[in-house]
Amino acid sequence: MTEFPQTRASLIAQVRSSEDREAWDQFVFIYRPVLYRMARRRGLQDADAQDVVQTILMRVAASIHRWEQTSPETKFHHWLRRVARNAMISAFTRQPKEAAAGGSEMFEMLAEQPEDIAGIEEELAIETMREHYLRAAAIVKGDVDPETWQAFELTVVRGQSCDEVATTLQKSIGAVYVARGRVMRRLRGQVQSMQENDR
Amino acid sequence: MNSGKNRCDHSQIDELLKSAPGQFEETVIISHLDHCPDCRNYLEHHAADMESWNEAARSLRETEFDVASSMEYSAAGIDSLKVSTPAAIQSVLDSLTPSEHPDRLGRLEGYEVTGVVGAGAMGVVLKAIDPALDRIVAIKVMATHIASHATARKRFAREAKAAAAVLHPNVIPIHAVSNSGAIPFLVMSYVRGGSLQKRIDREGALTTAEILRIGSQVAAGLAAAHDQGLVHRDIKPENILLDEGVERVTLTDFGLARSVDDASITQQGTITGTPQYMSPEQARGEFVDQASDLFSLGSVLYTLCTGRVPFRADSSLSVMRKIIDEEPAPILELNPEIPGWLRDIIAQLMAKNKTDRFKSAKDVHDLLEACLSHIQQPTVNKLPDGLRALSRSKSTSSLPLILGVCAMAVCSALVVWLTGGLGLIIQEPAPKTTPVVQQESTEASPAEAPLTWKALLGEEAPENYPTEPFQAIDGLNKTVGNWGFAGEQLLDGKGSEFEAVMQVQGGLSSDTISLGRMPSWHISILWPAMEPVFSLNFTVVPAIEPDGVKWLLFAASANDGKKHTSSESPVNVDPDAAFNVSKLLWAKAPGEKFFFEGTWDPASRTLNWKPQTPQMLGTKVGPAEHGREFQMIISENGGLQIRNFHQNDKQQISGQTAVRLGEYLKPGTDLKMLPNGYKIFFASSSEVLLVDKENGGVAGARVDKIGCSGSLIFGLITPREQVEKPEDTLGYFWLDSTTGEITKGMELGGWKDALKAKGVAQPMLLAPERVGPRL
Repeated sequence: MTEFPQTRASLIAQVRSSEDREAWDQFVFIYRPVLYRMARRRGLQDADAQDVVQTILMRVAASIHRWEQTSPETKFHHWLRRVARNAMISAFTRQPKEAAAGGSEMFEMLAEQPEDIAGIEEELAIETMREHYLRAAAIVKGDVDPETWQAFELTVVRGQSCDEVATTLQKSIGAVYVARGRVMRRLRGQVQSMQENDR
Repeated sequence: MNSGKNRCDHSQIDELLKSAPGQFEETVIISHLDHCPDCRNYLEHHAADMESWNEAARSLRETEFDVASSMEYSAAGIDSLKVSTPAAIQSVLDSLTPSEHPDRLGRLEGYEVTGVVGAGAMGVVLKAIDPALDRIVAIKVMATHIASHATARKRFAREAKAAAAVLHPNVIPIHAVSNSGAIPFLVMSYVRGGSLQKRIDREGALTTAEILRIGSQVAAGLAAAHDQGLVHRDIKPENILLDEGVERVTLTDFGLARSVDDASITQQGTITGTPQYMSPEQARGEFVDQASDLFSLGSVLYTLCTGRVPFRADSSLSVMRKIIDEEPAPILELNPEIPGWLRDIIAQLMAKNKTDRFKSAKDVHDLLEACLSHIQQPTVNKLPDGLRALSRSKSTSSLPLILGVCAMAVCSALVVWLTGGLGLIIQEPAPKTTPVVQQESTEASPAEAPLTWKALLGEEAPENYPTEPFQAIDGLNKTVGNWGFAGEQLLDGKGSEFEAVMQVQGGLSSDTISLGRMPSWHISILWPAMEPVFSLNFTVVPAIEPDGVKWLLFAASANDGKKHTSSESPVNVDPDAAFNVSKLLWAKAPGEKFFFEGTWDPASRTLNWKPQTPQMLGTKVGPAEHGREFQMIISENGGLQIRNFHQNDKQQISGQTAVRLGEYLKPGTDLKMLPNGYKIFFASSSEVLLVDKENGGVAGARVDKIGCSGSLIFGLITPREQVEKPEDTLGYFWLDSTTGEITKGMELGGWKDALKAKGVAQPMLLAPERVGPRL
């Protein structure tokens, strides 16, 4: 599956301010994997899931020209989230009206699985949170030494006990507690700032 | 230190948390934490709230969707052990012994590992130097997490044994095998150039010559394996390697291969192989012999012809169902440039019943070789006899269809005619701009002049005119993937946003063309749907301005098939002032005239078309229900909406775009919806692409010039060497999009005369393009 340079080159050319472009990039960065996972969970294979994700993103991109700053308080990224949220929910809940025009095979497949909007919203929220944590983890992981990260990962993510991990890492139990606490604190901070940007 | 509750100093824990989480520390307060549950509790709660801890645990846990790499289908039982590809690579790299050379990744029993070639279901392929022979090798290392798995080890050993047994130029040579160490590995020749899959991903469908060349070599490799009593069982483009620079194809990955008589490892019913290329008997989990590889080879050739796999579905299981029950979409519909005899060969390879396939891989090899000689030197080498008879009968039998006016058959008939009727099958890519063609451009008549901004508007292009060109469609083996209007259908007065996106695959690249933002739009509203009688046509030009996009109405016209009424064009619209567009009128019946007047309302940015009471004496006003109102809403940000307030009419919309290419506005994509529900694209200067009602069947044909005038679409077909003078054309066709009628002419004199006879004096040629720089 090739990337679609056109999304950037022509559609996004309409986003003129660099701040808005950044918001768009950030948006794609977070939501591409979110949508991908949601599509995969519905049984689509890799390439098809990527197609669907791309189509949704292109739909969002295509509506960018409608963005109008009505007052200084309205921010592009707020508007974008709102448009995107609607596009994503509609992609996963019903067959889009334009499907008859083409490119619809995969959406038809999605539409065959009736789902309620509330369920989708919840899934979207969970997946978005997951993406925030994954991105945050990548940042924090780079900042700490490998054993500190391991203390966190083994205990929190893999569910091992602190005693066990202390033995594995040949550290004191207290040190494992401190290491994972520090990682968690940083992680929480990163996630929070991402969530604020994403609001 | 005392662990008593009240004496613990939590401020020290706060400090600990706030300090950078660098390295592990062992201090007094940390050892206090070893045995003070209260302080640990405090630490946990002050690091983050409980909800966050839970969120982190849940969010960071690996799921089955973490691997975004291409699909991997390995045998049942191994799948569950699959880890993410980067992790598999990392674990293999971790297992290497350090190398003395700092730029190398490590050492594996004497081999100096220099890089990672790729990773698959079963292992990782490393690039390494064999110091003993000073050559570059590929080492397939079993993934560490499955090295302990007995079945996996057996399969690995079998691959080594099978592959080593086959000595043939088209089968990857095995240099060494190590099955004794902690991690088994296999040393093979290193093939520079990548897999056939990569080539397909990059280029889409290949030319007939390439397909034959690759097909015959794969068949030769298979024949060698079959001679050894082996069945490969996993023939797919990923397992076919293309040597860089050398025209050699190598078959690899005998991971699933086994002797026909070896039933010990793969149990009955266990599915192995990649579903897309499986044979029906494999999909059913039945006994598999050499004929199965022939089916898979057929599926690979199908993919090379069309750029897509023959059986597509949402899950492996559905793919297998389709392989068992269904026939793939005809190659003709996907790529009409593939000759009939090659389609027949593929059909025979892909016969559901294995006894209907070819007798042996050797036979297939011989046949494909003969075909390759034929297309390389058609006059010297004839096609094998059986094939010639077959393809002749096919092309003649299609003629009656061509002449038919049955609307439903129009699209496929057009293509059959273009390829079969004129025998215009082009295997090679169109030549790059030749001097001859360049000459044509400089002498182009005004009607054929490139559509530039200046030509359209009579003024220089504005400074901030979009400079990023749309991606050119390079005119080679293109097929339309997805396309569609993003918006609601223009029905019943509902608003509609006219935004179209098209993906075009194949040729030298895959392009996505947004039809939603383009230098000019030609919009036709035709009705009634099935037998359009009227058309209302607009040309609007969006201008990119600092505060947004403005649509300028360039021209408007109405056509009832007899009369053509134009507005006083060009009409340049000042969007900030009210104005009236010239009246449009047509007569439905003698003495019955309809007048429309367009009024621009700057406040609502709407162009309303309303029936007008005629002012002339002696004309009869049509009944009210015949009145039709259209509205075009042109938003400040560039959106264009068309509304129709007439309830019963279903409109046909055609959009046309001129693609900016270099200094030209290259008319690049033109899209018409035909009355029968088919759509016709002019996907490039020289290609017609047809999409059926379900958007499924796509066919293409190459023509030299394409043009349109009103509802009439015409194409000129000339042999490559004769493009010098369009008047000398070998043939032409036109398609009346209102009736679906197709007419063709061959050597009937100048095409311009033929068009004049049809009432087209000044056709707009959509193909002055060959002059433009190719991107």
